Amino acid sequence: MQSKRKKSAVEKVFTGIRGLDEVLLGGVPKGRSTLITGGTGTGKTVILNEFLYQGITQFKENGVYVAFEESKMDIIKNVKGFGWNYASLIAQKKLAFVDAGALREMTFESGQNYDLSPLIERVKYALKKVKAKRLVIDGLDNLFSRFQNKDAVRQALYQITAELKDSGVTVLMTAEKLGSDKGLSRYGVEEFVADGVIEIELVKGQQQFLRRMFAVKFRGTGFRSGIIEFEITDQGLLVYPKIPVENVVAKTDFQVRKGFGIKGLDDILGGGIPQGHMVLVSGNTGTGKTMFGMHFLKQGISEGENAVLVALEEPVEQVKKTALSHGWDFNRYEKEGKVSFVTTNLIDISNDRLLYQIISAVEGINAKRVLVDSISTLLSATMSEEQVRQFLLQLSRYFKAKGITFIMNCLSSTSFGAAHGQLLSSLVTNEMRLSSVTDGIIMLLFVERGQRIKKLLTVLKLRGSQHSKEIFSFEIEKGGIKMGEKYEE
Amino acid sequence: MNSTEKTKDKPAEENGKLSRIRVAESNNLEFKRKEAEKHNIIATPTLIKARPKPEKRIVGDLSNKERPLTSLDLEVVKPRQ
Repeated sequence: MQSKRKKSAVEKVFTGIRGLDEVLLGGVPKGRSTLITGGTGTGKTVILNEFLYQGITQFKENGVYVAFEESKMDIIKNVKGFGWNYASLIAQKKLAFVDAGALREMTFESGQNYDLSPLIERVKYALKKVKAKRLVIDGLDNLFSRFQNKDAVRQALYQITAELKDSGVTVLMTAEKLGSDKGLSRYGVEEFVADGVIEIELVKGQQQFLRRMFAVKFRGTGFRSGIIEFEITDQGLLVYPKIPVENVVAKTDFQVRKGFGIKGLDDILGGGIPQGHMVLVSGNTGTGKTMFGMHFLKQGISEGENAVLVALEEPVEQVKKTALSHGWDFNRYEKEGKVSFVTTNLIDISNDRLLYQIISAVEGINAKRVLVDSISTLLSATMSEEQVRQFLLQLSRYFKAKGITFIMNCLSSTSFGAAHGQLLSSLVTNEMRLSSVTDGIIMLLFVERGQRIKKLLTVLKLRGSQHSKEIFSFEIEKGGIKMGEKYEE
Repeated sequence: MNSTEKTKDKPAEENGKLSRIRVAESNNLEFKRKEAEKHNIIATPTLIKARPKPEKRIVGDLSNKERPLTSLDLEVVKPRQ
C-alpha cells in the first residue's frame, strides 16, 4: 500500500540527491521530462541545481541549464552556498547555460506573430556544446507569462521535449503553482510535456517551516507514494524516504535472548528479551526507566553488540554523566564507536527525519540494540498519537528485518499509589494503544507501603515467550539496578 | 521582417546605428545559434534597443510603427518635408 511497484521497461537515472532516488525507486525516468511544481520558495530550483551538479560530478553526465527565472550570474552565486562551483564546470565545458532570466523585465510584445525557434536552437546548441545528458529548465511559467502567444510557447516546449526523447537527455523542469491553482501548474504545462510530476510544498509547523514533496505521477514507472519530508541543508537537499512497510521478513529469534545484565531480571524474562523484539518499559517519572535502558545497552556493549541511544528526554551529556556515576563510561564507548546518540529538536519533530536519523545511526555502527528514551516525548511534542503509532510501526518493521532488539520507554502518569490489590489499575491507555505494536511490556511502578516508597516491576507481556507473572521489587543503587524479592502484600 | 526594416530606416539615419541579424532567415545553423546566444534572443522577430540604456526589446509584428517604437522609448520621426 505504501508503494506502487511495476515492472517496467523505463530506464532510470539517479538524481544523486540524498534520499530522492529511494523515493523514486531508482531515480527519474531516463530520456524523459519530470516537472517539479510548487509555490515560491519551496526549493524547486535547488532540486534542479543538485540534479545538474550531482549529474556532472558524480555520474559524469554533463548538463545544460535553461534559466527563465533568474540570471546566470545569480544562479552561479546562489549555488556557491552549497559549495558547487559552476564557474569551473562551465570552464571545463561540462555545464552550459541558456540564460534568458534577465529578459524578464525588458521584453514587450507587439502582436502575436512570432515564434520561439531561436530558443529551441539555443537549447540544442548548448546541449551539443557540452554533450549534455541532463537538461534543466527553470521557471517555465515565466515563459508563459512573458509571451501572450501561448500556442507558440507550448509548441516550443513540445518541440524541445520531443527532440530530446530520442537523444536520451533527461529533463527536469520547474513551474510555479499558486495555492489557488487547481491543476498541477498554472499553465497546465504538465499535461503535454511532463512524463512525471513531483509536487513540493512548504507547510507551517509550530516553530518552523516543513518541506514536503510527493510524486504525483510517473508514466509507466513506480514510485513511493505518500508525503515525503525533506530539508535543504548546506550541502544540498536531504530527502527522508519512507521505509517501505512491505517485503520485510522478521528476523525475530526466540532462542536468542538479549539480557539486561541485571541479576534476577533476565530470569524473570526467561533469559532476556528475544532478539528482534520491541519492548515497552513503562513507568512514572523516577521509577528508573532510563536506568533499565542503559543497563540493556551496556550489557550489549559488553557482549560486543553496538548500541544506539535515542535521547529525547534529557541532554546527552546528562545521560552520560548519570551513566558514569554508575561506572559506565559512555563517552569512551562513543569514542570507540560502540555507541551512537541520536537527538532531535523537540519542536516540530518530523517522523521521517527522526526515522532517517535513527536508521543512519544504527547502520553507521551496525548496532544491535536500541533504546528510545522516551516515546512519551514524541507524544507530547508535535507528533499525534497516530503519527507515533506509524513511526513505531515503521521502526519496528525495519528493526525486525535487521534482528535489532529495541526498548522504548514510556511515561505513564498514574502509576503511583495503587491501593492494595490494585497494582495494575495504573495501566493507562497509552500503553494499551501501543500494545499491538509492541512485543513486550515491562511495567514499573511505585507503591507506598509502611511509610516507604517501594519500586515494583512486572512483566505484563512478552510475545512468544515464557516469563514470570509475579511482581518484584527493585532498588536503584550505585552500580545500577538491584532486583529484590517477589512482592507480596 | 520587411516591415521591420522599413520602420528602422528613418530613425537609424538620424540618430544611430542599426544592425539587423537575420536569425530566422539564415541558412547557416551555427551562425544562427551563435548570434541568438550572443544577443540573448529567444523569439523572432525581436527588435532590440541597445543604446541608450536601459536595453529594451520588442517581439512580434512590427507593421504598426508607433506602438513598438514608443515601447522602446523612441520617438517616431516624421520625414522632413
